[in-house]
Amino acid sequence: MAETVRVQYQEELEQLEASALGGLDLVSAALERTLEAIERQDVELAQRVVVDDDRIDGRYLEVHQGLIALLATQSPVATDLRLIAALLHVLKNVERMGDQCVNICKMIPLTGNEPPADEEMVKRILAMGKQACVLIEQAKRAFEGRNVEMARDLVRQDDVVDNLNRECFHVALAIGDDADKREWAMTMLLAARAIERIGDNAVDIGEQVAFVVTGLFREFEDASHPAP
Amino acid sequence: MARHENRPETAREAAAGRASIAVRPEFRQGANAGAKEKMFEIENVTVSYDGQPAVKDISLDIFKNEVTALIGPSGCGKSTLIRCLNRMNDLILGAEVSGRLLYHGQDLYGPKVDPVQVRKMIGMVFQKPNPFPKSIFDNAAFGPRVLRMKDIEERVEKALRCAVLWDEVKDRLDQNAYEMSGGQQQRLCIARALAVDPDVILMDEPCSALDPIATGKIEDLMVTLKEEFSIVIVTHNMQQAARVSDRTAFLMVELDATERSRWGRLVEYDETEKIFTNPADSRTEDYVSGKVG
Repeated sequence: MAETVRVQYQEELEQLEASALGGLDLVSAALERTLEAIERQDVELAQRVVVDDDRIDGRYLEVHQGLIALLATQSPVATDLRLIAALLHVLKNVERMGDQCVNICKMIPLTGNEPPADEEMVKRILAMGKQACVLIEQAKRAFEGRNVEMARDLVRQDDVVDNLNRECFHVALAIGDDADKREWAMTMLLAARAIERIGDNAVDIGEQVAFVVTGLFREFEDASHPAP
Repeated sequence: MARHENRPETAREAAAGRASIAVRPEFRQGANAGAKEKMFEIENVTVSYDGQPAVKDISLDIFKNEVTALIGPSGCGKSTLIRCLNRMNDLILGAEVSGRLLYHGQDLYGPKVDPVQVRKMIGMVFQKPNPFPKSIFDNAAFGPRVLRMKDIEERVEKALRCAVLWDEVKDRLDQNAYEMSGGQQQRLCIARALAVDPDVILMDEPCSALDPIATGKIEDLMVTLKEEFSIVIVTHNMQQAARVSDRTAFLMVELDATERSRWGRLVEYDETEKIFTNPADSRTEDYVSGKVG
């Protein structure tokens, strides 16, 4: 008796979701190149990341426009409505993560061609970046699979990033009196902070997964009022 | 906020804020239902035409000063159900209503109840505007005159003002109602129902013959009218239900094993916001999101 209708609308929504989540692949690629640029002090590669961020921004605009058109023309409700609201959030997260890569890459030329790099600091920043890539990939899988448990596990994965960020701070404190080295360390702390924010954005995507599935929005962790 | 638990959470559990407890959807009324005054209590109502059920076992409460929407596909019994509420089905030969239907706690189908009095208290507006071939004034004055009410002019003005029609027609009250636009005719029919001081207005697809502007005016009117009256509306337009109603009941068609008989069944009844953002039943979800027809 029941006949499936609005097939085209469903296909459009599926494509927009795939496109929005595809933005996470672009961010992963940008972050990997950012890490490579830090490791090799590759100013040109950093410049490429800055330029290529236009692709992430373009994806944002394209999917955003598509979602607004669906809202205007298809009157989505229930799960579809929650999905569209969540995708609008996810798009913003993707765009912000792309911008954090740009922020890091714009700092790389400032540290000079042969910066007084501290191995311990670089090691931690690269580990942070790799862990952030894990978070981005896991956030994507959790969204695609509507897997709330996997989404909530992002908090645990993000703790690794946060701990490394704190370690970076302590390494910077103990970096010594050399002015050039201290300046480099300050810049690297900003890079660490940017990667830490990327991790937070991945957790935010996880919260949107829970919203799509349950219909309730709750922060997985409330940074303003942390649990005792 | 507390850390997560390591177990999946279903939409229903999350909505209930606790572990899943089987709740028959027809007895869910929405979060604020407890504090509201009940206008109708419909308990296991079945309506049959010539022994053939049109709706089966409907149970729901309709609350005072709210707009309650009945939605569902064609043939699900929305109109049959709304027509029970002012005993309009009495006028159909072979129609039979079983179960209990209380209005302000009194049995609407009790032996001492006068159906004409019921229809005075519970007015009805139909799909197609149906003014009488009389003047605008005489249309609005029709009910009060039949009921030998006093202060006819005052009543007519009040009813036309309530229906937001007064300013448009006050200088041409003796004009034939057929010369009005469709939207104005429908508002005149609403005024005609209001003129006898009803308690409830039933609206069966009141905007389906109207353009979007006229529809918007009727919808605005419903929101104003619910401060004084209770409104039950049958609509095919789900966005209209979403816009104007406080609570929504979703009915669907059920078939017997041979697929020869069909009847309407209540699937879900809840606050409208819940129905359109996070319905509990997947059949409601499929219908409101237009995935099945």
